[in-house]
Amino acid sequence: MSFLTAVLAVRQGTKTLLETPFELESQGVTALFGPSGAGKTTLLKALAGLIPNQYTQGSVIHSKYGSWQTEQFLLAPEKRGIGLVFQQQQLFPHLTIGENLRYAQKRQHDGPKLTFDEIVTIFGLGSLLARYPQALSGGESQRAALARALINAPRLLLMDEPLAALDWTARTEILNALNHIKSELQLPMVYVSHQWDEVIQLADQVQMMDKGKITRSDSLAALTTDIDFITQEQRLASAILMTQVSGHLPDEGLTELKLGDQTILVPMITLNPSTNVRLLIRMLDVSLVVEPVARSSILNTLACRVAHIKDHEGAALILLSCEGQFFNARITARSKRLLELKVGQPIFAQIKATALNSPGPQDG
Amino acid sequence: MEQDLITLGTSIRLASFTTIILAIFGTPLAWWLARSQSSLTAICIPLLALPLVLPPTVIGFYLLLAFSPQNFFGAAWLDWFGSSLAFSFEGLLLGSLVYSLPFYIQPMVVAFKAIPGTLLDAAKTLGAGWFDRFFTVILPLSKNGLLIAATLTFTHTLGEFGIVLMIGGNLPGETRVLSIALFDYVETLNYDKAHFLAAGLVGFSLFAMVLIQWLTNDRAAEHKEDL
Repeated sequence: MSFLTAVLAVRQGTKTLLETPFELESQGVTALFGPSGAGKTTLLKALAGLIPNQYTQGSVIHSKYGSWQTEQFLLAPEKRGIGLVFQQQQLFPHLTIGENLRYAQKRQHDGPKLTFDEIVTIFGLGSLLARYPQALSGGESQRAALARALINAPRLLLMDEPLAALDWTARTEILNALNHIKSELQLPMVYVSHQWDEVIQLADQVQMMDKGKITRSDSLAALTTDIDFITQEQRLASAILMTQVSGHLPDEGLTELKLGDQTILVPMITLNPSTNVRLLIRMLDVSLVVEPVARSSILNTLACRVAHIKDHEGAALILLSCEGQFFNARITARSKRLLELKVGQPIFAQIKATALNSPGPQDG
Repeated sequence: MEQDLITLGTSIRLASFTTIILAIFGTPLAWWLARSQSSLTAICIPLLALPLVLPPTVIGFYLLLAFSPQNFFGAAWLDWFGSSLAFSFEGLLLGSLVYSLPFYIQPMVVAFKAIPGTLLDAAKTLGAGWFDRFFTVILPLSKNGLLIAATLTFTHTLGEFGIVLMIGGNLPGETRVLSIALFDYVETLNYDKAHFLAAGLVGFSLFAMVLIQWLTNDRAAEHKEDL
């Protein structure tokens, strides 16, 4: 069953900002992916009820909690039970972080929830509660804003490029926290982004947007195995492999993950066997060898095939297929020549892999 | 001296009522002016600012005409309350409301406009209805503007002269206010008493300005202390 079905239209004067049918799953993270100006933010605002009536003629939104909008009626944002997080400037400056969180707690909706302390721990806010928002870094502010939205127990969480203004470390911390939340709560989330590497770390479903319309809606697994789709330039830098926990090697501090018939070792993660784990593979962390190297500091060597070769700025981007999934390597033109790479050829990839959605204490 | 105390009482009563009434009715008006996308605000903003530039005697003249029982408003008032507005405290109060309105509205509009829309959207999605948002987000964030608006309105009403002369007259205990009393003392060459009133008004106004300065600075510091 879907969480909501809608026909959305937003017009300003003669300009159409948004005109599209939209459907949202009851579970998991749906990424809205597309270039800036595609209407992603407008779509979120329309769902939240933040666009005044006169601009949304023709919009209809039916959620599983009842109608939010029809031709005659617009349900106020405060009655929709939605959590909303934007890029910046959303914490109340006259309240401390703790008071901001309590503000949300006092006005809780009826969605799934964690306790105040659990959320403070997941987002590492313990030492920030007495501070005012002005004294926080960008990453700390966004952690606090997400925590506030979740403490509010929303039925649906909408995030509008919450990581856009942040550096890589802060983004990783928040993505880990969101993956943790995803594993703890049956909460549908919509994540707006134009960064493919964020989308692959979090999303289950992807809806592509362009010029005010949803142009494609698919599962992430389907998109990451679509060669035409992932060989577009901005989607090459990193990839994910969907794996499952197969066992632990506590003596060595490692966890074994299963990818088809192959095994990948990663630093110990506290998950039960058969749990799904996303592995993030960055293009620059992959090297290619013709035969497996017997002794190497690299733990993991995967048997792959070359699926696609693309010359790019003096280097070569090699798309590798492994057990039906894809990831990329970036090698020099010289290496490409020495390895005599051809499409379809078997090859071994040495990888450094980072396991995502690994719950662990974030506070510290 | 006893006369002066009665005059002081009238002045303070007038300034207090003006400030309170403007706070109640001027605040929503200022919100509407600051936030509405209606084209009506394009007319209302200059109209409400008019008392800032018009000579007080002009406003006084038109108010006096309106108060006259020969005109609709004056007649209706007389009908309803049984007394005339001209040369009464109520008339003076109405005049003060008109004259002091921009002094209340302008700082409030500035304060309201400065609140980022994202904060209000955040409050809405967190489940705060209109009144909730007003008292927990909008008012606390415009506290400085409110303090400035109220202080300006109060001190400005206290010092108003031209309009009082036109519509209030000089009835002790009813419409005789400090600025009029001061004028009388100077007219009758009673400089000792004039000095006393004038210095008192200077002292009070200075105190009010310092108070604004201190309160607004203090608020700013409170948010920055843990940088």
